[in-house]
Amino acid sequence: MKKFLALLRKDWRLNRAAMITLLITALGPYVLLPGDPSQAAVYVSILNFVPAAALGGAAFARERREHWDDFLAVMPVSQLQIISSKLLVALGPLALTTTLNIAVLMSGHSNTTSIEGLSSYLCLLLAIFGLAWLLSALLPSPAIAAVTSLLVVVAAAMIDSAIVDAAHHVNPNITAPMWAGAGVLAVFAGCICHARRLSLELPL
Amino acid sequence: MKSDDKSGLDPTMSPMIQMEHVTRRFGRMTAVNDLSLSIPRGSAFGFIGLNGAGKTTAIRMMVGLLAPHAGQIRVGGIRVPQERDAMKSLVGYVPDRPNVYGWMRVIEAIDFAKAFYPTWSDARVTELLRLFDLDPAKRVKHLSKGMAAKLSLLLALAHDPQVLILDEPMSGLDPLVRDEFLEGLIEALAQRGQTLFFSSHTLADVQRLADSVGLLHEGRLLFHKPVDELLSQTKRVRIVLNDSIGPGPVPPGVMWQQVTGREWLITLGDFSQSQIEFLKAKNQITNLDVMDMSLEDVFKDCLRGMRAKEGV
Repeated sequence: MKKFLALLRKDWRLNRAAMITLLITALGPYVLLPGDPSQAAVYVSILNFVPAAALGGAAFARERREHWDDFLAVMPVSQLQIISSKLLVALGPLALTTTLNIAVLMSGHSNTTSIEGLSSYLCLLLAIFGLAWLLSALLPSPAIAAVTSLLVVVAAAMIDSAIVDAAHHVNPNITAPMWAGAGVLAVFAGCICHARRLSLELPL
Repeated sequence: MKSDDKSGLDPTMSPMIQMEHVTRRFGRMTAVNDLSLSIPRGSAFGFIGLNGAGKTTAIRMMVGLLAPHAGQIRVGGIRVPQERDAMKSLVGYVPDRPNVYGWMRVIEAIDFAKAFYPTWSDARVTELLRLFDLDPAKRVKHLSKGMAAKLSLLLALAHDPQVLILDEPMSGLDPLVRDEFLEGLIEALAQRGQTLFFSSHTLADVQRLADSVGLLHEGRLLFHKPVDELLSQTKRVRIVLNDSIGPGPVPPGVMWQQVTGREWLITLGDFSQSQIEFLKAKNQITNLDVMDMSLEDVFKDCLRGMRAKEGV
């Protein structure tokens, strides 16, 4: 437990920039639109893609670039603990702010809120986070991992939406589980890449 | 599997580090080639070789940061990398470049590392902080290279590891800081019976610290011998020839030779009086001196000899 707490503290500190982004995007619209929480919640939902990408992108890239992960890798702690701590620190606050925001959306009787719409939104969020997480295990920069994942997933989602719109008989929510699946797979792939990196790296 | 250890050290001592036929490749390049090495418990081993010889790769395999493509590694009897997690608490590792989180303060880095080791000693940390003159409030990224190396050493020593593995910890340190680091290391290791495995380009330091030394060249171990034995068995012979005919045949065991005018320098491995008798018998000699060599000279001549054989 002591080990895990030390890892959590370390990851919390490493994710500080992404946490600040999350705080700004989660609270900013409510501060700017104090009289209209439902509208603020809609803005938060859109802005939430940014901290999702930032938190995923912050997972491994900086530690690897600075060789800090070698410091950790020689300590008596398993890769499972290292990765669990990272997932908890990244997904915990994101899940919390997203849940609170969805609660505000649901209570606002907004006609834009539907279960299907929310599930599509969450699947897309997961895809962005997952891809950023995977790229973080492969690229040296958290910012590049985050921005790339954001651009790729948003572009892919737009193409997907255009295709679904063109095919009038297709249920618009049919591709949502694919996005979620891609996100979960990307998280797994990122974890494997990180664990395997130790045997893939170039000679020093 | 038959061990190809070349150390000549007491085989009855149980090895703390054992590498058997270890090979590691990066693409087409073989960084470590069929390396076999056995380091007894409580001994100090100096790993030497040119840049790119494969020392860091061998060390990274030893601490579980890289997997070998062939061969077996055991540290404290534990197989690496298969049982890497069990091995980690036995080892204190100081890398060639400091890798402690730069944003941490020295004290935060100590507290962080402490969480992972049940054998962590606060008393030892206090003692080492004083010995290394480290400021606990300073951020790691603001430490000089020497201070960062000292912090890495402190973190490696504070959990009282059975084996200390240092990868060129003194490279880039100025002579004064290097001396302080070395003194700190010697003092820290004194009376603890820890095994020390270190690589270094500063061969005077290796000569001072190591019981045995191994020379790695292009991934292959050329020799592994006790330092005293190596130095007593390797001599430089300076011959002044008395005519301009040039040098005659050389005895077996010549490591390297150079002729400049009438002066003939020969480095002899496995030195014996019979080699001198051979030289005297086969050459017209005005003067012959047998000189002791430093580890640095042995290293240089061994590599010059290798290069001459390879035709470089």
